Amino acid sequence: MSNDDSGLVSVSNLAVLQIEDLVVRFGGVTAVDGINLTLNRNELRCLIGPNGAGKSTLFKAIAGLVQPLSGRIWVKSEETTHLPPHLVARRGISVKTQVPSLLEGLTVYENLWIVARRKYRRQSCKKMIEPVMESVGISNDSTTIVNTMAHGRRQLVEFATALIAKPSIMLLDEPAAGLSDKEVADFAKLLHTLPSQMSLLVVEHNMKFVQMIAQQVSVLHKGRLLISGEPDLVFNDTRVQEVYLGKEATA
Amino acid sequence: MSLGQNNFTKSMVAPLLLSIPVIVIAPSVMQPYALAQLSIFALLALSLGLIWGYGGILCFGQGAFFGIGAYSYVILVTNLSLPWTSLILAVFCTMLVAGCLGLVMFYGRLGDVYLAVVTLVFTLILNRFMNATAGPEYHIGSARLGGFNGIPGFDMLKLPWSDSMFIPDILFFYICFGFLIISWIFCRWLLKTHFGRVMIAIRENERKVEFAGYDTRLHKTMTFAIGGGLAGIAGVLYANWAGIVTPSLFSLTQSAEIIIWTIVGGLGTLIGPIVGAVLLMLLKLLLGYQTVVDNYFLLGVLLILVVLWFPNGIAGATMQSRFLQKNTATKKWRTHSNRTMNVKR
Repeated sequence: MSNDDSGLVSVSNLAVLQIEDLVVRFGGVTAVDGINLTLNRNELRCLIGPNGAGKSTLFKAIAGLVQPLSGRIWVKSEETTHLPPHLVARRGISVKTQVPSLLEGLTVYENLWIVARRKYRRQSCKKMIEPVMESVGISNDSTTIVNTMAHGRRQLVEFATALIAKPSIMLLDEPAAGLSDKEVADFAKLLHTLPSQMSLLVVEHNMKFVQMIAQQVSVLHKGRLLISGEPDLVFNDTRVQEVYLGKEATA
Repeated sequence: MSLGQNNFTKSMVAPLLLSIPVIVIAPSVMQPYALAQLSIFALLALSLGLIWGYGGILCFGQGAFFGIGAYSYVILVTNLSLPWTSLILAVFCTMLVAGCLGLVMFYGRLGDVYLAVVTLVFTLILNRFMNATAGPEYHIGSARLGGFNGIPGFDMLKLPWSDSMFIPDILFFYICFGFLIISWIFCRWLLKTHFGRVMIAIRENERKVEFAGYDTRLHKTMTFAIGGGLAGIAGVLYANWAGIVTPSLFSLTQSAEIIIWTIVGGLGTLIGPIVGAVLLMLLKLLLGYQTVVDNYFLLGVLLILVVLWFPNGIAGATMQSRFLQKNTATKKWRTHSNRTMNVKR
């Protein structure tokens, strides 16, 4: 994001999400401290960092759940900084939360229907839902009430609800949390099958999973962006090893 | 899957089938005057059953909307002398008040507990205010508010084809019962629409619905206004049944009773609050003849017993019985809405 001579903000054609000098404060604690971040079209960027680094807060600020103190957020060419969550969602952002957030007493199909129906006509919903359930592998759970499902399956259902809205940006907060190694591997495969026009910002702790999926990695530390780049470059950075992996810089 | 269907005719079947025996048998068992009262209170309970059981909005102020409906009708009919027009306008007034209160509460992001407190206080304020309007300076047009004594002597609903000043009791019962059945059909239909589905979804997980791009505050405000409108209809009918409106309509006892009817009948169903209101009103009528124990004490004990033994209420317990489970197993939305573990209490 830059200011041109006319004073107007110019947005990169490639960027679908741009964050500029974002500050989020809770009382005296600065959770996000002047972060600049860009997510390009068709990019899968992982956001990593130790506990308290500000990952989830940044995630919530993008989704419209917390109001930043200063800074700006653009989705494509539209500013969404102070928009409520439903308007952020309408700009093409889908969210998958850390703990699966679902319509607990309803079936898998109904969970997807509610999301699909906002965008599509009643008659088209069924046509939209079935392929998504198929691709995520939850077709057999169509009539299962979600609060009776295992955690791993619930993660998939929530992922499907994010997918069905056909977003341009998907925010995934620790999608591998609580999954077995096999489920993590399957989920990584699933992410690789997503439509190419979709961009993903994934907050994750599971390094194995990050290495499986990430095209770009950004590391947060104490609310600031430490480094951004390709996974190999980031993981070999001594600062990252110090603050995140707990290794001595000299090792 | 019944999700894609929006069949108004289907919504009518159960209410119409159940209404036939009531219309045929009830007048020979009870006085039409008492039956009309039961219908009015059943409609009032239905209004709370919709917004609490399906919208997840616990409102302690349903009595307030009941009172607003009654007062609006009396004020309008005193000024306009057009009973049926006043009925329609009074319902709109009530919806408007409920909508405005809803806007403040839901756009102010009040939590469930604060919402209950605000509606409770709203009822209290109205009660206090109406009690303090005894002086001649308190009037709207030609309608004096009358303070503690309320407003007696106003034009009642009349049959358009009759010169009589009053509707016969039996006919008035049919009118009240008709309003109840129409409102019940409307609620059943509403819950089958996209709006109704979203209402249920908000009850299940408001944040998730927001992430899907719905303005949950607007949906909740509209739900609240619809519930207020139904309570308003009950209020108008009550005014016509009683022939007087007093500030006691806004009493906390009234609001608490509606909540008890809904819980005992079965939260998360439409039939439950109707059944709860009818049964408890009948019980109250029966208890009215004895002086050994206070009626409200017994109602309280009954509430505790039902909550402990039938947490899903009478309707919930009945619908969860084996026979009905078998027959409604495919009607997912309906059976889910009986799952009280997901209903915010």
